[in-house]
Amino acid sequence: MRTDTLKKALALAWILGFASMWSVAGAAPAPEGQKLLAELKAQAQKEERLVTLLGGAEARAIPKLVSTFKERFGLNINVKVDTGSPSATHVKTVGEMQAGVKPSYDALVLAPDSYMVDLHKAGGYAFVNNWQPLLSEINPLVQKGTVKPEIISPAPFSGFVYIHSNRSKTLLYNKKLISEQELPNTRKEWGNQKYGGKYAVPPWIDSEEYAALIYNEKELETFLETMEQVGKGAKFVATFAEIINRLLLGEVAFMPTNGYMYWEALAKDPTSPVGIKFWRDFTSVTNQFTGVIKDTKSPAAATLFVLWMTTPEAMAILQGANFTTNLIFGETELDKKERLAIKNSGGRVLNWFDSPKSVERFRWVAESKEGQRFSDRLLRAYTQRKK
Amino acid sequence: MKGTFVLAWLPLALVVALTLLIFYLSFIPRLPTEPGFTLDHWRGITGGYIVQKVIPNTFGLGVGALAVALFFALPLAWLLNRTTLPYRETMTALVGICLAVPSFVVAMAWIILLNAEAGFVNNLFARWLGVAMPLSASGNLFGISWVLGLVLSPGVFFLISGPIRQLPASFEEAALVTGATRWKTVVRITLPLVWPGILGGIIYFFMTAISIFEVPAMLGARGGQVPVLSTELFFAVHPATGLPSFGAAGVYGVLITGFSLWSLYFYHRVISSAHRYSVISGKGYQPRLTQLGRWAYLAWVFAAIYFLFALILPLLIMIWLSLLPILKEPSLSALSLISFDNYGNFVLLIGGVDVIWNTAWLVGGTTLLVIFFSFLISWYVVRSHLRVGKIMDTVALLPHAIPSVALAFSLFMAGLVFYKWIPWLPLYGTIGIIVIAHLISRISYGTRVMNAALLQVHSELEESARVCGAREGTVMWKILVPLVRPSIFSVGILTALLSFREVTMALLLSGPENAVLATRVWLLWQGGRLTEAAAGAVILAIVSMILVVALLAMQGKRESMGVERASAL
Repeated sequence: MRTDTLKKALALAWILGFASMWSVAGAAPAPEGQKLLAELKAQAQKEERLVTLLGGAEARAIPKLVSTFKERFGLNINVKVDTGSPSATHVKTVGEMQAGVKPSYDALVLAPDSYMVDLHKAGGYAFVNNWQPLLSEINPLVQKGTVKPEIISPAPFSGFVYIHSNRSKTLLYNKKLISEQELPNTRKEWGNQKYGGKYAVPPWIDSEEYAALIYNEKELETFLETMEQVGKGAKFVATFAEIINRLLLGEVAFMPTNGYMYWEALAKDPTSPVGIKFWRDFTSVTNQFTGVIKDTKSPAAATLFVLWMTTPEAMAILQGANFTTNLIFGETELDKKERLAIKNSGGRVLNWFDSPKSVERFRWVAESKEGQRFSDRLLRAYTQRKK
Repeated sequence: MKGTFVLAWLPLALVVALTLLIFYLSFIPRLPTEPGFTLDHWRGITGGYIVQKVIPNTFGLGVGALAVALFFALPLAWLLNRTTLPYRETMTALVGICLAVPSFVVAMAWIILLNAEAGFVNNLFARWLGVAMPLSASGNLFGISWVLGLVLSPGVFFLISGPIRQLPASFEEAALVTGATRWKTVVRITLPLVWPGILGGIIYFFMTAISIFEVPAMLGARGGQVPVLSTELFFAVHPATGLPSFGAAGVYGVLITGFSLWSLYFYHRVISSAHRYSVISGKGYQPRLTQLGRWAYLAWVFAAIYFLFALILPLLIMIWLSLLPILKEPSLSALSLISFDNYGNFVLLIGGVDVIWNTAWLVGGTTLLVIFFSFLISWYVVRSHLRVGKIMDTVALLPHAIPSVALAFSLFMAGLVFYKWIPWLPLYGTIGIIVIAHLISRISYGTRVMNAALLQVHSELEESARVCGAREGTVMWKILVPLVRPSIFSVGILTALLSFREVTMALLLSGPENAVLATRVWLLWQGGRLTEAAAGAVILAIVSMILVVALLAMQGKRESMGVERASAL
């Protein structure tokens, strides 16, 4: 995400994004959504198969997801949902794009935002023609006017990728080891030495990078100093999935992670000692994007699947298995509950794609030398990995 | 015969091509499909991180794991082969079963068992003895060496059991008669005589230790605590953030291959001087067993501790976890959560029936191909008096020096290139590419066994058949194959076992259409789904154990056949 070539990618994304907006606005009257959808369904049926990816967390929901998807569009096709590693798939697909070969997957659901940007940079996503009327036809929230298409497919990636769900970055803690009152409320407090050795951090910084949205350059320097203290105080560096188990066993008292892990732990064991606390300075919300892969063998089936994955129907099926919420336009009880908890914490909710100003700041982090330097320093400070 | 000769060279040509590709990848900017030459990837390794951290860690892990493996394997090999310890045959079978437990399953278990703050063993000590045990299996070189040592110990045991078993007791008896103490006899007589066997085993397993990926990856490489070459290679291709660096992976591949080739050189030196230590002659060879007397109890305790660490505890902890919805310490309250849900949903959790079919194809395909090509190559090596036979033998041994992680990386890149140039070739993303990876990595072992088996069959038998008008194919199929059948079965079962439990190569080469069981269990664990992964680990271990029992039975049958043949003569 922080490579030089990213500049070109984002510039291209911007051009394509605006070009697509122009084409939608300036083209002749868009064909009827129903007609477009009918054509897409007929084409998807001819393609006969669809290959996509979901994480292992969603495995239990796959049969229902597949049968509902096929039923929804009256398809009788072979839908293969792989449950491989999203990170490995991301790398594999980027490699395939760079080599210029046919992709292994027709559609992907990927998180975090940086994976989407990397793949877009490699020219990995196909632009969906007439995506707005199609989305309106498929997603009842868009059809009713509750959600604008641009919210689901935000610029500068409009038409290429679509938000399926989000991940709120929060604090999980072991109630047996620390109380909610004892936990830090802000990143600044987190840097206090008294928390040293009580938490672990992941080897990535996508949640902390959001500081660039609310702090100016001088404030970011102070933030980096705080993160240096945070990194030094971390007991170890590991993936969220690894830390959560070690937190439940009592090795660490708290951890920064995704909100869904709390709901999942409680669903599996209601007596679990896990607690959740949202930050008071800011809660970053990263996105799980879905998109059609370029030059795929089954573009129509992939388009139907990708657009359908933004619907409350698809989200509800997957939420039963992965507990991932949609804080932007989700309507389930869990979505509402998490949204309320964040609101009660008083912290600002940050998303790279919620406004042109946010996108501008995202470009600063991803494109400018200063932003890149900030990210590099943040990663070094946070993980303390001397490489 | 020209056709079979070309056929025999097929896997060998692949070995050479993939080895060269690893080197080539370290000098190109990105992909082999793009032009360019760069030394940037090599400049990167001059940084402090590789030289000061990764290489010393790799070396330290190799040495540490071997120390642990030898600590258990050496005494056990002596106790179970040279003493009258009761139930030693059963214990030998148990060591075989330890071999069956996949390495990442042992690693999974020790992460849970040994942890300074929350390990089950540490908690037990704290609760019962009031002692805080500040030991962790993960995040430190000692912990990783401990687990890897346990994983390697059964292999080391079987490798050094041969020389120890064949050592005639007359040498030791002579030393004792001339007044040497038991300890002095062991140090001055026994150990020097079995030294080439032990040293060969040490070097062989050092190569194995530095190339194993899954154990250090699980126990502390991701967070940068204990990076080693094999994990750095994998994470260069599959980074936590950002894009892969194929060039850096190529450099790691070259380095790790260099380490192995360096070890292989010493291995060959040891093996070539082994004749000086020949102790079995046609006359008077009779291995005698030592009476342990009261020491037998101590030996039992030692063996019990080993089996507890290497087999019983890891399996018990996996079985316990597999019955829970979430990670919990064994307790009465946790009993209420027990269910077979993880087993009931197992097929769904691993990604469907396709994964089981893929695994079956992988195991079956690899086994048949390894047997076929090993037999064919060995036939040329043993029967051909041409120089080319020696060349074939050397090339067949080469994959042993190339760590599987580097081999798989090279094959992944080759697959991508072929997919671009010959898109209709069913290789990239198919189970075929994983089968090829396994075929190449197992060909060294297969040809070693087949060489030995064919050497025992006198060429007179084949010549008689030829005189009677039999074609070469008929000679092989009707004469040679039945005579070396036990070796074919041994190669087949061990290949099946190793292919079934292998993770690293399949992980680098898998996609939506060619996922296999072991990688899915590994991914479940990496995704934090510990209890579901544990169910998979238990299933993997059980199937592996069945294969090992079959292998041991085959070995027993082979030995009894040998005895029968000897009595007949």
